[in-house]
Amino acid sequence: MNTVEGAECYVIHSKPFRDTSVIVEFLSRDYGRVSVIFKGVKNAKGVAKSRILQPFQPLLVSWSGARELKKGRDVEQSGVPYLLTGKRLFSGIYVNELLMRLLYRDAPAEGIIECYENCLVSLKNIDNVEFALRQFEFNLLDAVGYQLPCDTDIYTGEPIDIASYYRYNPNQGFSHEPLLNTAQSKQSSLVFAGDLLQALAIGDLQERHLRDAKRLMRAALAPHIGAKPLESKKLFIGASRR
Amino acid sequence: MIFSPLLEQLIQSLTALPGVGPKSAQRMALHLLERDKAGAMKIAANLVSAVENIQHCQQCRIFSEDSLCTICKSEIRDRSIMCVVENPADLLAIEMSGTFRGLYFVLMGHLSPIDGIGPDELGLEILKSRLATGEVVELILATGTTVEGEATAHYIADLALAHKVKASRIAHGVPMGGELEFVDSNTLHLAFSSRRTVD
Ligand SMILES: [Zn+2]
Repeated sequence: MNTVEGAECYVIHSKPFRDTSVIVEFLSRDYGRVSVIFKGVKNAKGVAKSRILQPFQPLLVSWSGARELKKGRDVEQSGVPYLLTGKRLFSGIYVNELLMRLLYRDAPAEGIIECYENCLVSLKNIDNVEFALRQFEFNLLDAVGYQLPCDTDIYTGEPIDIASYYRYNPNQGFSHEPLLNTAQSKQSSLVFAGDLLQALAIGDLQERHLRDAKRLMRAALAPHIGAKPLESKKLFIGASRR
Repeated sequence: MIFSPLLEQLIQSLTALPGVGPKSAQRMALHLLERDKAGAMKIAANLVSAVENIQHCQQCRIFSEDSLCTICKSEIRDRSIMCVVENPADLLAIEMSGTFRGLYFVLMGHLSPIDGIGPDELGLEILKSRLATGEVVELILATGTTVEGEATAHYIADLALAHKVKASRIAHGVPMGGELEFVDSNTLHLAFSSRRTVD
């Protein structure tokens, strides 16, 4: 029997199972996405456990079992939770839904928890959540092996020029597009400024990049998300304040 | 098969009840057949008429056989204040406490996008139309203190704001008769951040 003691984890989703049990999807530092069933946590005795099995709470989790669904043995807090509110909370839920779609169980997950934690820190601290979300999407694609090669033209091998425009070729990369200005780039949903690509590559998004960054990340994520749209996007409709 | 087909069927269907496994289902079935056939007939009849006749109240979504439930129909409840809860059990708990005399809105769940439960699934269109009438002055958000409960509260607070209705969230903190050392750190955190002046 494979036993894991005190693995660093975050809850990305949980759902009740039978009357008193819960099946939790974790993002763990060393084991990637893991599914664990905790039995008897929804009764008076187990309530302390189910209370800390919440998203955005750093946890140490112990489980056993060699199958896809592990058996939870213990769980404890390993730090203070990221208390997100309003739009920041909706963003955190969106990030978790993205992880559910992009991560496969027991696939290697190096670097994912780091970009997740960076994102939670940003969501908690910065005013505009869009910066945190775009950078997370970019870093997550990179960590799961679908990186956007934002530094080179895939056809010419030349470095990306911040004053030029590039076409995004899904699953390949960017190629130079002979355009004159931003107005023209807006006519094709797959053409982006070199300036944006560089900002993403070096992690230095500015206010002026946000619109196009969203357009680019939507195109880049689309093949990996599947046909069903992300439900958490509905939360943002009407959530203009806070 | 140890039991007759009808008895097997009965045992099988009793396991649909929460907390009832095959063993207890067997015990219940044998008890009803051996000792309480009249009770069994009553359960069967009540079950059928409840399932056939109980629907959701058109205003608050709680179970009711009439289009409006007794609370929504009542003339002594304060119609200017409305409390939003996740489940009928939450409503009952608040009613038992006797502290609230306004109206309710029962979501029958909470926002959980990953499970496909969005604003539409929680009947928020009905809530919006209630807010639009202008009758409600304050909306009390009594959803759970889970991440989903918080998200649900924030989402509904936005709706209230859009209709110029004051939204408030019930306070979270240390339970009565509780020793501080046994309170979890997240609850303590909330208790401290929502502290009030002693007067
Ligand atoms: Zn009602």
